[in-house]
Amino acid sequence: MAQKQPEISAPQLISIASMSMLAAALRHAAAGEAAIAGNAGWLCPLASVPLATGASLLIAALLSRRRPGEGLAAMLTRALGRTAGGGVTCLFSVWFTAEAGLMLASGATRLANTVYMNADPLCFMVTMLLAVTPALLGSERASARTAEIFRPFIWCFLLAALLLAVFDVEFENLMPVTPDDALPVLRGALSDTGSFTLVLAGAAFLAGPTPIGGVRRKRLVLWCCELGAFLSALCAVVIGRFGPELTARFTYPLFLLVRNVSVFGTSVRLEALIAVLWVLPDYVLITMLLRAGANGARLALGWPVSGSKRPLDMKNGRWLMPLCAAASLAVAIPAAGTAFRLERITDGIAPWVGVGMVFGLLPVCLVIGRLRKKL
Amino acid sequence: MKRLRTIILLPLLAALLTGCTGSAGSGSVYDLSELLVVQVVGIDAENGETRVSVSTAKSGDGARKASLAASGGSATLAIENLRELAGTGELLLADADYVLIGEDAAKDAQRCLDFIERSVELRMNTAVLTVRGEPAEPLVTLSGGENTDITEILASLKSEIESRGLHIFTCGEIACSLARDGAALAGCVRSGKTEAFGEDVMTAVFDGYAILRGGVTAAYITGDAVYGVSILRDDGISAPVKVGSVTLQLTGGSAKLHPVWADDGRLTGLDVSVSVRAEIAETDGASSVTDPEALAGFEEELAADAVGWASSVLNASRELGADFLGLGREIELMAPGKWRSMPVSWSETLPELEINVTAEATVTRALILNDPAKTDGEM
Repeated sequence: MAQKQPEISAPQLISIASMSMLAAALRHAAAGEAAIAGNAGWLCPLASVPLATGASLLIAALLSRRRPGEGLAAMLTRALGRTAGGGVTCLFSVWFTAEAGLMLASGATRLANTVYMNADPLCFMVTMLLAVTPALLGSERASARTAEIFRPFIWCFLLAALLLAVFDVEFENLMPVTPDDALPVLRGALSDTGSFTLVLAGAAFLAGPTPIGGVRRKRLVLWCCELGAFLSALCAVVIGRFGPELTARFTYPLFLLVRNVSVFGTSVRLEALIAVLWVLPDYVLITMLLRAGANGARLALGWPVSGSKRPLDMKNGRWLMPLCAAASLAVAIPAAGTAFRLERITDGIAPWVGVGMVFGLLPVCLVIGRLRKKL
Repeated sequence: MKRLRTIILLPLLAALLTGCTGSAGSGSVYDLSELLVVQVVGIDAENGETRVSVSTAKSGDGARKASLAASGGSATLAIENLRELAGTGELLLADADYVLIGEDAAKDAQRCLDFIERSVELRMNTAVLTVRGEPAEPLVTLSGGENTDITEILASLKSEIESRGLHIFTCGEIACSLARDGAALAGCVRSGKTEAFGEDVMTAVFDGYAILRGGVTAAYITGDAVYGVSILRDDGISAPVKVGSVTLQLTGGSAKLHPVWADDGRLTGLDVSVSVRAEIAETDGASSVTDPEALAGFEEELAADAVGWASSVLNASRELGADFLGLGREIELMAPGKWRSMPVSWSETLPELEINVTAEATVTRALILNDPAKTDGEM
């Protein structure tokens, strides 16, 4: 049987994962780390790299046992049987959809709190979903290409903002770091680990014949290191600029950093531009999560994931895609009620769920699959 | 179909790409001549209310240059009242370069800082100055007379202050220091009179630093003691000082801290070694600047002055229990292990600390003139 060609390439998958990781990590960048680990907060993203690498290698190991045309969702269904596998896949779908809702709420409240004052976050959430839904119903290749196009823009802007802000960094704010900081740093690494697990699992749930199995393990490890180092540099600049105590008080320290950046005295107030560009990674992450969620639900209910790419064709459970989008809005609306509530969920509960799903549930599935001789 | 999707998608994305809205939330686009671009904001406390005054720049042809003031229950409400006073003009605070906090408002400086930090328009890198002994409003609205205004006065003052190695702190720096060390310094100005174009006009004069402890103005550092701040912060002092019969131009100064630890892990003292460099700027004509003994004498006198400057600042820090210089942070960086195992907290240690300042001064050169020509005919 001829193996089906992957719909998206490995570099495209890396683009999706990178953009998604930026969106997931930037929503809490620096503030949580500074609150938990103080001066050493900038080390938290680096501390999450070993766990992220472990998660990526675990998922890659699982996917290495797949059959042609299978993704992680299909594998889980085969490994655990129709009922149990469908249940676990559904669980992942609920997780992805809920996280998409939280991301939706997070992006909308960020815009409403920083640039578009007095605006109702609901209008941003609905606009985002209206933009995401056609991408969901369209081809995966088009979404991947979008991420590929957005990626250099976002990197350039973030790197430029960091380079300009680095002149204001007080390196004393980043020191001293002693062995006593190890535990707080590890605790602070939880939120970044949660982001890594979410993105890696989401990427593995994208349509069957592609994902992480197609990316070499060395590249996966490098990807985790790259992202960890970049996020660590970002935290270092923010904490170095404002000090850990003040950083911990801010809701959006990165936004404040950008707001106070001056391009050699010639241009100031770049925050609106950055805040709007920040929407692009959100768009990629939400699209990926909703697609992963819908894929899982379709497989659990016995529909094939591949098939029609016509936007208005709702056969083979494709109606689950707009349904997942609507469900994410249902999560987003109450979550966006107050910034405090959202922060409690995204920083307090969500990372633990991510770590539990990847490090708790997936190994169990692997073991059961092996015992049942299905993997 | 692709084209149709693009046509649907682009307007949706465009909704997110419309740039920043107007500050009042009423629209996005303003005629430049209608904008009142605020450059200096004054905040005062007055009969339980907050009074905000602003000085605006001329933003374009036909634009007005205005000074406005209004009161309200808080700075935010006062600004809303200001917007009403502005009439057809749109008040734009986003480009404010300076915030002046009047004496009474500075008693609760933390509240003013909180307002700036939370403000959507004001930036954290806006320079914050407290006004000593008077409200900010007269300085903001009346300074400069017909020919200049408070913005130009503060800009030239800042440039002059910084050329002397002193520092005008921004809101971000003050907030960071308050959050980290519990105390901070803020630049201080007072009003003065100057004659310009045949008329007496009000101007702003630098008047040292206000010490903020827990967000409240606790004391001031004035006179030559401000050089102590510059030396202890290693800001690159560059100021003229009179030492005996000569005037020296300070060209640099720094300080090294040597914490003194007791056997039980307590921090009992702090030895501070100050080092200053200077050049000879002016003599009385009789003093020899090439005579090694005379030079040593100048250096000794300068060192004594430097001890005095640094001691007065360090003693203020100790007596107030306000670590506005970040001494604790520096000691922590030197000995993080000892710092973390201190049996007594830093806030309790600082007031009891025995501070010992020593200084050495170096007069490096006499610029282009050695000893002046003798006037009694001797060669």
